[in-house]
Amino acid sequence: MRKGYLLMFVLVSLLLLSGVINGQKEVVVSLPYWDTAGLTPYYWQAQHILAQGTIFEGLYGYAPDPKGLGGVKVVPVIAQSVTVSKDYKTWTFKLRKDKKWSNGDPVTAKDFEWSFRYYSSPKIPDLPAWAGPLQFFENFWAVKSGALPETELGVKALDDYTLQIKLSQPRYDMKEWLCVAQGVPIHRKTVEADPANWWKPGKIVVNGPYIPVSFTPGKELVLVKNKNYVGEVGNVDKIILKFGGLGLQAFQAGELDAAMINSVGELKYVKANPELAKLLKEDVMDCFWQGYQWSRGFDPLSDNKKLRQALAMAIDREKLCNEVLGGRALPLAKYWPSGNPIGDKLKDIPFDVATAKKLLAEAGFPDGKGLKTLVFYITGGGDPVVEFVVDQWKKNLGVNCIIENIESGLYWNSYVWANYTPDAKAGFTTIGAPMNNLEIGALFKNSDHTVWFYDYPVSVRKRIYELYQELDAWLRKDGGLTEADWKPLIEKRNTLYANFQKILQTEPEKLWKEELTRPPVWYEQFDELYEKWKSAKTNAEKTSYWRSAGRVLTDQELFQTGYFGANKTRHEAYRWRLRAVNRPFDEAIKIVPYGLQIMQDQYFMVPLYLAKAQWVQNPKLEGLMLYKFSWGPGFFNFKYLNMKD
Amino acid sequence: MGILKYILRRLVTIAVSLVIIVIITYVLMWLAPGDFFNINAFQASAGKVSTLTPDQLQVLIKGFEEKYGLNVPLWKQILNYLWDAVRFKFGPSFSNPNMTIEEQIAMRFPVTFTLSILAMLFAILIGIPLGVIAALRRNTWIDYTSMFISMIGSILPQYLIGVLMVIIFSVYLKWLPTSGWGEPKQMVMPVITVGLGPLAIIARFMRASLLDILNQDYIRTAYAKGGKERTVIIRHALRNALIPIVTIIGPNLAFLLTGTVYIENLFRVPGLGQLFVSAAAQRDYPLLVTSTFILALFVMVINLLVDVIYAFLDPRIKYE
Repeated sequence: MRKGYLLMFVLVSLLLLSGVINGQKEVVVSLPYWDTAGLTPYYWQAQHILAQGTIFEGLYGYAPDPKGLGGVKVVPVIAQSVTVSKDYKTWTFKLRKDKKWSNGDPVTAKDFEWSFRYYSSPKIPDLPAWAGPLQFFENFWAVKSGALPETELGVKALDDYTLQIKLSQPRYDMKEWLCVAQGVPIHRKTVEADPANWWKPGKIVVNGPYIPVSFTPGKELVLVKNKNYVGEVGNVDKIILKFGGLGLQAFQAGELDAAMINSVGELKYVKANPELAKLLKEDVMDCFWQGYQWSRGFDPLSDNKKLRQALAMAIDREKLCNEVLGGRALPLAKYWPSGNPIGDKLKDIPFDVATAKKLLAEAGFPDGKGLKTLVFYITGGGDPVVEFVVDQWKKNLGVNCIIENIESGLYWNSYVWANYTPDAKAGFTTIGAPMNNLEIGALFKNSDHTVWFYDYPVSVRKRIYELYQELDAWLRKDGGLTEADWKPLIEKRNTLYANFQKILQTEPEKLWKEELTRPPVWYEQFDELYEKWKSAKTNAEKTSYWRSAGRVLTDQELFQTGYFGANKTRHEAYRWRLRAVNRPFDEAIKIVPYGLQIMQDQYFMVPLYLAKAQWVQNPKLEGLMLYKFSWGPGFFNFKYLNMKD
Repeated sequence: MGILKYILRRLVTIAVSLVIIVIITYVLMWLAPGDFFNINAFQASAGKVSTLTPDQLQVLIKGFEEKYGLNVPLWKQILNYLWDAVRFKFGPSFSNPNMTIEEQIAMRFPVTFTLSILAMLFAILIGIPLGVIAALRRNTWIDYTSMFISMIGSILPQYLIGVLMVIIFSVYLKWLPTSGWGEPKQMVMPVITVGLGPLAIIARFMRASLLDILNQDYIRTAYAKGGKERTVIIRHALRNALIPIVTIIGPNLAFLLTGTVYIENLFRVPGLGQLFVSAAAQRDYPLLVTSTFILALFVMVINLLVDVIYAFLDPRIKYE
């Protein structure tokens, strides 16, 4: 009898503990996810997709806002208030006092100070600095190179809950930059105890709403609710993020609570299945247009603006989206879609075959006659979009274009993103123009390639290419041991200085002048290196100063070649860009369309469509946030998830 | 020459071959355009169009080169790599700076190893009897059926078999989970999908090999001496017919150990294949050299094992 009571007691206790009797069933949500390499927030791989807002939190973060760019708005998370100096270089944040780490420690300004110094130090030599806010901190580059100690970085905890960040130059979108993953702190004690493994489940201490408890690359990541988290969070106890696999089938088998639709075939299947069709959801990836860009070679053919316009106007984007992309995209003939403050101000590139033919004739190629065969470079198994475009050019204009498939590494590094590719023929590559995050520069969505690389005569393009090569060569040049080695450099410095003064006297844009004369100005850098060289003790030091001086001059020559070699339109586009990045984010949005329209009107980069994100979703699940930035489509910021009863 | 001496000699050959393979891979990658060894390409990947100045980029490049040992001449990089390889320390990879390559391999190798061994066992346990039955009942419906079953495995591509199995067993019948790894239920579909290819090959080879042996004079002699069918087949025919099968199993196993990438992705099996393929796609050179190294090591060691097993199956084979 006693044994029976004991057994009953054990059983009841177990049931109570498991939450079955008091009705507390664990709420679990399973979702598809990008296979992630690790959880270290300062690496590009973790960016804001996972790190920010789910396992870590920074001063600012994203909250859903269907009307905002990217479907998000920037909201204070650990920051309570901010004071910005007049010159936008000193940002002082007051922090919330109730935020905690998952082990119960308070989150303080010192955590931010230590973390930012740690990321900036040479201890993380491969920090992708271009992807985060630290690059703008005062002395960041000197600290990263080891020239200055970490304590010289422009960040300071004035007290436990006041953090001051000093920037090397005005930055008006700091709040927006602080939303990406290098803006989150990590837990000092844990990191110092095991610098290589602190981020692994079982060890990691987080300050976000969820804690990783198991991580198997190639399979899944399991997150459970952080009981010490203070802040807005849904009712989900456990989130299982599954990498890869057959998403739609896993959803049908009840193993996933949402699944992305990845192809036209899947979309047709979902629409034909009455039960699945009811669960279908759709949104537009408005941060990401897809189109083509002219190849960055030296063939003068692409200098013909009318030819560029003719080709851009001869593509039926409606047909492309409906027939080739099966309704998984929206036609787009400008850099931003309508429905937001930027897109509403931009003009469309019309689909107008008659005008296109006229322009082609005016360009010197009536009905395509006399025009040599163009090359459209692609990579991978084939590209139906490119095939369609090439077909449209042939049918509508009589223009011949062949498709050339290139191995992916070569394609991306040498054809799409390189500055110039000497062996690229007159033609095109496909391009996606994304925003990585809400920074002002990214509002131009790659169109500013026009400013960096296009619209120069061939001779200038060739010279710029050479100068890039020279810049790299300076890293490895031997010499710099005698005054004779400096002589040509000093002569060049003086010539460049004279030209530089001319630019300053004639450039009408005050902001551009300010940018060019921001200390240390190039010639001051050069003179300082020369002085240091004179007192250098070893040959290695001497060579190093000489190389650096050579780089400073080559860089300046590169700028001047571009400045004098470009036409007025390109200069004007750059001035608008400067005006935009020198405004707070909200105001910049109003300026961006002016620069963007100028760049679009050059027809070097031509948008074709906006992808749609389509997925099926458990009807009980709420708060799923679609990631619309460059890594999308997918889901992110899981703290808003809520499962209805 | 004794077998030990033979094995020792082969091990030396393997070591020399591995060194040559590493050198060739390294040099080829260094020569290939659009790679990480090239500063231009690094700048492109680091966002050349960003607002970084050349000197800022130089700071990044220096840090990157130091971390990945690219700041020394190529010959020294190769020597460093070989020394690392001997100690099985491959350092960090470009695409996953969070974990060392050896850590990633240690995490994924047991999974791929289990999957490959189970798939090969499945292929052997089904494939050999299927081939034997087909050979013994040649040109009967049993032969045709066995060969038809094995043909399915070689005709249908793995991905199709995988997807079909998920639709049938997970979506409709709900017997098995669509994916995952660790629980026996999760292993069934990946093992069968991976095993069907080698199963088909083994069954067809077994059939052909056994038929060939059954027509040999010594089998006829064995029958003539009054041997029972079962004894003749098992003691005389089968043992000899297995030799070509061992030859097939060896390379196939090496292939499975490194080549199950699609299936791993489909069934969310966290194995080596995924890792190695992503290395190529992401231009992750430290990982790419290491995957070539590991693959070569597998193939050579398995070939050695195959040759040693021959000796046990056929006493006439001598090691010289």
